[in-house]
Amino acid sequence: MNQKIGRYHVIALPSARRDTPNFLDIYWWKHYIYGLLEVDVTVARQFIAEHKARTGDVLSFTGYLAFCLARAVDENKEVQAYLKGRKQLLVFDDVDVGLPIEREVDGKRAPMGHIIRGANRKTFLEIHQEIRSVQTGPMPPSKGLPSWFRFCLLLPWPLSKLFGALINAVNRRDPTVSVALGGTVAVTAVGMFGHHSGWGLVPFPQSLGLVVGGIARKPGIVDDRIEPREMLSLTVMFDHDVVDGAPAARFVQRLMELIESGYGLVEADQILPAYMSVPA
Amino acid sequence: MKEKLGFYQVVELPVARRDTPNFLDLIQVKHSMYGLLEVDVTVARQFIAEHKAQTGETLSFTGYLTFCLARAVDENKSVQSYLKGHKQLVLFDDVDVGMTIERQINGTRAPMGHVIRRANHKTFLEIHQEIRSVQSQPVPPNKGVPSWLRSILLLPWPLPTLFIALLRGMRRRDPTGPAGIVRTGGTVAVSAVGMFGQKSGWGFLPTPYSLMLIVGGIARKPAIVDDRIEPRELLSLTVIFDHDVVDGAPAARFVKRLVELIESGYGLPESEPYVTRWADFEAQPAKE
Repeated sequence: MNQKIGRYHVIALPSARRDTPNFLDIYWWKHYIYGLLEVDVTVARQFIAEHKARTGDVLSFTGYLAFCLARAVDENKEVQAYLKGRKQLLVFDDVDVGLPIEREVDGKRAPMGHIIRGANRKTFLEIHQEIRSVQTGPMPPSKGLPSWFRFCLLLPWPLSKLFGALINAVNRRDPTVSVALGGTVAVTAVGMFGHHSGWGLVPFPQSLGLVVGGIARKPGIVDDRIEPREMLSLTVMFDHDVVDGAPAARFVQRLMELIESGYGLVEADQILPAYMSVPA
Repeated sequence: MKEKLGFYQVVELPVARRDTPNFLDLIQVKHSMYGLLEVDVTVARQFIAEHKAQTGETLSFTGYLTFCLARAVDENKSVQSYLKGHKQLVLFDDVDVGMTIERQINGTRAPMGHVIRRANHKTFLEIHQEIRSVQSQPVPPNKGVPSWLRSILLLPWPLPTLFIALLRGMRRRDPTGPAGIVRTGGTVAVSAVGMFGQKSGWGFLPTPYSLMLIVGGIARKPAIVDDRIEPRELLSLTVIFDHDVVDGAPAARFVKRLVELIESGYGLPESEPYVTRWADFEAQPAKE
């Protein structure tokens, strides 16, 4: 029987990956709602292309999505609430967007968590500049997770499981610790599937997360005419424990409105306070 | 309250379905990541249609996806690795693609698991011929699942739950052993084709594999080719990864490569005679 399996090698699991299954166990059990959307991002992509032609500077598209997300959450903060015990809800004033940013370290790419604090009070250009400066910054050890946390996740069974259960209980009593580490909401990196329609489905530890999929040129309908448009495959994940379907759908509608209308896209030389460019 | 209910019936659960919930508990990977893609398969479908017009033979489209999958995995084997304990990873040299093939015997159809071994060393036509030959073979009793496994899964609670925990523990300790999927089911898998007919439609499944494709519907849709809008055939394809062994970024790079292979019509011999053309093709180094 065994000879049916081809040749295989048993290699040491890189220590950076050893804690992954236990880490995922900490939040994978939550009650997720997913929305799979197709968003027309032609306006934003054109702005970025024109800006590049003018200045040579490539604006971060992920940054733009983080900017629109922060604005939409700012208008409707219940989507980034966290359960505190059984009778209380923690609602944050600021939108802290956690996102993995790939950095080049010694020619190798490694993703590293970064949090854009107070993203609801920042302009698109400020968020863009923050992302670019992180990309060129040095890589901190252990991907930003505290080393004691990783150490506990790597303890032998059943200690690692007990630690996971403990972390969950602590999170439930006081979610501020995990929010401080990961942000109130999350966005994954862009360009996952290149120039194709493609949605990614993956849970986040946060109450609200965006998975940025592919951007495909597709025929869309503008003013009753069929035209080529750039369509982004976007997945929105909610925690059903804190938000219901109807408010989640309203939030998604507003988020799409902001992205499609090109909310807040202004050149740096004509910058306005963010609130002055809210579409009606 | 009760009068609000409409009429209902309580019927016997068919014996063949009784072990299903426990079986799914047994196999399911815990941390699945999903990618839902739209892939332009016009080139491959046209080739298959032309081949049929010329020879009368219908080439297996599932076979073509299997062929492309095996090639993409061959270039990036980390996506088909399995955890062995907490500190080791098992990497396989060959890509063994498990699939469910419907066999037709005496007018009745029955699905049956089959593994295309070493699919990364096989040509599209070889894979196609293997699938077609399996389709006409008889179905063994119990669909190939050992009867002792089914009996244990049908025991009263909590025995199946204990058994499942035991088997999952064994699998974690040695994924190449009898409790692992690789030995009987292959290293990766492709689900059967044509799930949703001529419409867009993605399938979702629990899977025991580190990597699996679910082939959804193929729809004719308007698409943009060289700035012109044309009708194209778009396949709804679901890719499932195990987040325990692969991260988002490498998974996305794998998907990009897989889509590239399928859309470009990788490995499709252009015209007759296939066999010699194929030999020429194989002699060339792999395109990077």
